[in-house]
Amino acid sequence: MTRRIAQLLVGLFLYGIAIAMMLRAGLGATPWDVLSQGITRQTSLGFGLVTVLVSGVVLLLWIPIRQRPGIGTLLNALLVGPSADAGLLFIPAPGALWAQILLFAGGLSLLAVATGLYIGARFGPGPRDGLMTGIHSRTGWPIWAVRTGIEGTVLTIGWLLGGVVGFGTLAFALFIGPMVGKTIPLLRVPEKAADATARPVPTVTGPTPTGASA
Amino acid sequence: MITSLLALAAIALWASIAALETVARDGYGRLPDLAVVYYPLP
Repeated sequence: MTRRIAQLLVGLFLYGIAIAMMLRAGLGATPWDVLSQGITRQTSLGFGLVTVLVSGVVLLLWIPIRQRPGIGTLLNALLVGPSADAGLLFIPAPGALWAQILLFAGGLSLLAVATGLYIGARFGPGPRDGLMTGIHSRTGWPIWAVRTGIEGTVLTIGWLLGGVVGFGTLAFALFIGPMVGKTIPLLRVPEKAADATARPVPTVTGPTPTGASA
Repeated sequence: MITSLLALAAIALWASIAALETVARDGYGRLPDLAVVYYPLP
C-alpha cells in the first residue's frame, strides 16, 4: 500500500512537471491544458490554480453520470496543478526551435511515464479520464467518440480563450496512446494473488494500449 | 542547457521502460505476471 501511494504521488508530481515542460516548449499543449491556458490568459489566476478549478468542475460532472472518485482521482485534482506551477517556476522557455521540439518530446515522454505510474498505482483514474470512461459506460457511446467529443470541445474553447494549439497538440493526440501503452503494463502494480510468492509460474496479461488525459 | 538535459533524461526514461516492456513479453506478446516480482520485494 505504501509503495502504491508513493508511486501515485511520484506519478502525479511528474505529471505536473511534464505539463510544464510541454507548456514551456510553446508548440501547443494537450487539449485540457489548452483550456487551462486559455482561462489563465483571460483571468488573473495562475495555471496551477486554474487546472485545479477545472478538475473540480469536471468532478462535478461525475455526479450525473454516477461515477465515484478514488483517492487517486482526488489527489490528481489537487496535486497536478501545483506541481505544474512548480515546473513552470524552474523550467525556462527555450529560444531555438530544436530546443523547443526537444523539450516537448521530453515532456511527452515524461507524461507517458507519469501516466503509467499514477494509473498503475490503481487508486482510480484522473477526473478527466473518469469523465470519459463514465460517459462511455453510461451511454454506451464508443470511447473514441466520447474522447474526441470532449477533447475537441475543450480544445476549441481553450483556443478561443487564447490557449496555444499547434504541432504539439497534434503530436500529443498521435503519440500519447502508443507511448502510454508501453508504460502502463510495466508500471501497473499487480494484483496480489494468493500464491504469488509461493508459486512463481508466470501467468500472462495482454497489452493494454490507452491514452492519457489525467 | 538544463531544460535540454531534463528533456533528454525524460526521453531516456520512457525509452528504457518501453524497451523493458518489449523485452519482457513472450513470443505471443504477453507479459509475465509481475506479482511474482513485485510482492517479494520489501
